[in-house]
Amino acid sequence: MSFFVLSRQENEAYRRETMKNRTLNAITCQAQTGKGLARCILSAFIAILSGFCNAAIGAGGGIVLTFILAAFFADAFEDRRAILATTQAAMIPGCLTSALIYYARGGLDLSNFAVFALPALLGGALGSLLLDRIKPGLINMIFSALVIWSGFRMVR
Amino acid sequence: MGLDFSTLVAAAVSFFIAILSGLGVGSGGLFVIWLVGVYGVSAPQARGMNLLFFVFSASAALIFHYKRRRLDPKLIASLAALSLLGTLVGTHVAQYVDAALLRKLFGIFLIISGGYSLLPKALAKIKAKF
Repeated sequence: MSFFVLSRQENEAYRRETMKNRTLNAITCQAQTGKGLARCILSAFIAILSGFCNAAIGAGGGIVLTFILAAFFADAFEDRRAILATTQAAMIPGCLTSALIYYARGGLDLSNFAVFALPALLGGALGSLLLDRIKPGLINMIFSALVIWSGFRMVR
Repeated sequence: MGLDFSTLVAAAVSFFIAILSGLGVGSGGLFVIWLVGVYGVSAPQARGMNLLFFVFSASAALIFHYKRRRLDPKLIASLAALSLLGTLVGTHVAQYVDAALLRKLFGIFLIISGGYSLLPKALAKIKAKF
């Protein structure tokens, strides 16, 4: 359709193509080879590191998990969108726990949060719908650019 | 923050940041910077709100990811459990480690990893043109 947007047919063709020969066994420790074990250990370490980043720094856990899954485990996912979806789902319990700890320690004032809660729900839903219409290469480019930008913000 | 123009602006901006979050391209940095820069919220408070903001936006996004069968419950459960373990360890360790140092180290990691992800593809595209 255009450089940025996938048509419905293109999206379906992309899904069919990337689903070939791909399985989640590579990460879920069903592979009994040494390589499979190494991947299990690496994925476990990255998952722990992502939770650590969220708790210690307050952000970045999702970036770590997405980046490592995309760099080393891309063959285990249907496509880039499945990696992003998996990361989002996996980060929720950790983020909720971190937020509760912030709240318990008095570091989180929720009196104004209602203003952000509804837009967060609506925006999150719309974003996941748009994910189907944006080319994976473009998503990767935006993600990488935001990662670099976030890095410079943290170093400054 | 009452129901006035600034409230509407706050809702609109957070809506667009949540779209980025739903796209999975990492919106945490933007939300924190916006809260700190525009509303003068303290950094720890902004970080806490960012975590909760993500819980809301990601939860809504998951409904559609689930419908499109992008989620593997076993994989997500194991990653989430390990991430939770990391959260508990990180919460404990953060009390004894300089947060500024951690942020700088993590920032360097992000620059390297983002560059690693972006530059080879950009270089390959440039090479293909010549």
